[in-house]
Order: sequence, then C-alpha cells, then structure tokens
Amino acid sequence: MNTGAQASRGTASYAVLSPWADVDPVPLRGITPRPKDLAGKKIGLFSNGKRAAALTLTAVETRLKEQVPSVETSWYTSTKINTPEILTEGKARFEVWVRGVDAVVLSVAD
Amino acid sequence: MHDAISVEDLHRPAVVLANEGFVTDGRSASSNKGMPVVRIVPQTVPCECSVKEDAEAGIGQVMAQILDALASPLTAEEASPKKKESEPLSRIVFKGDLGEFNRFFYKRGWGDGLPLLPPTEEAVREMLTGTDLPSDHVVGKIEPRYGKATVEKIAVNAVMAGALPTYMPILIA
Repeated sequence: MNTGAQASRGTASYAVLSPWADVDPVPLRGITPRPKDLAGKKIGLFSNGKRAAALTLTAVETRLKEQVPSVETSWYTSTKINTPEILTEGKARFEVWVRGVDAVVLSVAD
Repeated sequence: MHDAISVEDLHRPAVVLANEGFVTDGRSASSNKGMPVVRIVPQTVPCECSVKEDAEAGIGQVMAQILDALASPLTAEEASPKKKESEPLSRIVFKGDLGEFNRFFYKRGWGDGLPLLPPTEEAVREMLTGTDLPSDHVVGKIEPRYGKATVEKIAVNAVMAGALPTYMPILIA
C-alpha cells in the first residue's frame, strides 16, 4: 500500500482496476426500410409529453404539410413521461397506433 | 429512444428529433438496445421550449433532414449493422500517480470531476471485507448499458468514491 505521504507528493504509482461492468453482447438489428416518397402517407407524430415536444411536432406537422400536401398526420402522446410506452398501460393502444401509420417522427426534446 | 425502437420493432420507420445536447445519449441508448442505427435528427429547439417561434425556427433548420430521414433508402449498415469490435477493457486500466489517475478518469468521463481514490487490487480487496458475498456475484444489471454490477465492481466504485468497507451492505442493497 502506498503511504499517504507518497501519494501527496504524487510519487506513488497505482495500478488501477477498471470500474466498468461487463456487458452481455446484444444482437444487433437494422431499421425498417423507408417509403420511396411521402405522398399520401400517414405520418405519426409521437410526443413524449414534455413541454417542448408538442410545439416541436406542431412545427414539423406544419412544414410537412406545406412540403407534401397529400400527407396525413396522426398524433400520439405518451402515457407516462420518461417511461417507454410499451411498459405502460398504453401499450396496446400504442401498438395499434403505430401499425396504423406509415412512419413516425418522435420528439424526445426536453 | 426506447419508443423509437418499439416503432422500428413494429416495422415502421422511426425518426427521432433530439435536442443536439442529447444525441450522444440517444445513440448510446439505441446501441445498448441493439439498434445502433436509429435515425436521429439533432435539433436546436431549446429544452423546455414554450415559445412557438423558437420551435418553428429550430425545426425550420432541420426540416430537410427530417424529410430525408423519413424517405431516403437505407444504407447497408442501417439495414444490417455490423458489430464494431472494441478492445475489451483489461482488468488493470491505468498505472500512474494520483494526479495522472484522476486526469485519466476525468478525461474519459469516468467521474464527475470530484477527486477520486485509486481502486487498486489491495484497496478493493479491503473494501470487499465489508460483505460476505462472493466478488463475482451479480447484484443486478444497471441501465442503460445493462452492465453486470458484480460485488467487485461495486467495490471498485466504492473505493473511487471514498467509501468505507462498512458501507458495502448499503451499497449492495
């Protein structure tokens, strides 16, 4: 053991153990193919319920409809802030909603 | 990020709008969930924003990226991400004096900037006298990486924080 005096002079050398926990490998998976274009598509707008989310998504919705007039939108607001929706009582409703849209924009703005 | 991954798992494309300060956290979370290639669009809308004009300005800057993320074809990596081989951390991660040790950990974000004590083999062994549990016993898996919190890893972190062996039962509980 190094003495306090050695340490205070900065002369002692320490072999330091890693503080990092081992992690089991997680199988990787890719993302879903995108539609070729957005014309006529229904885009989901998912708000995590925080203050900025609705404003942010409203701005997205406005610009989206300006740029792709035939696009439809559908909103969903999370059941419980900071909780993945599939872990809430809203899970079934969420899954039905997702299956009913062509793509989803999620705002996780704080 | 978990909700975006749920959307992708239901075979619908997801695009995440994240404040630019949280993109790294978001990427880390998606990687830990096995989907490192979720499309994230960084935006500059202030956190807790309640001003419509600020939200509109922030989104206006990234709308082209949002449209691109919604409709551009997947890259090969996005369709089938490859595991990035990373060097496993060795048991001993650093050798040096107290100041060097603190700088090494601080630069990597392995502490919060407060002084750390070096978790040497001897110091960790002493910390482990505070529990009867075997050092390789997994107390739990900790989010977001789901790292295995073994008794030894808890002891390592306890040494760093300046805890005493008598604190171990509380730290493990």
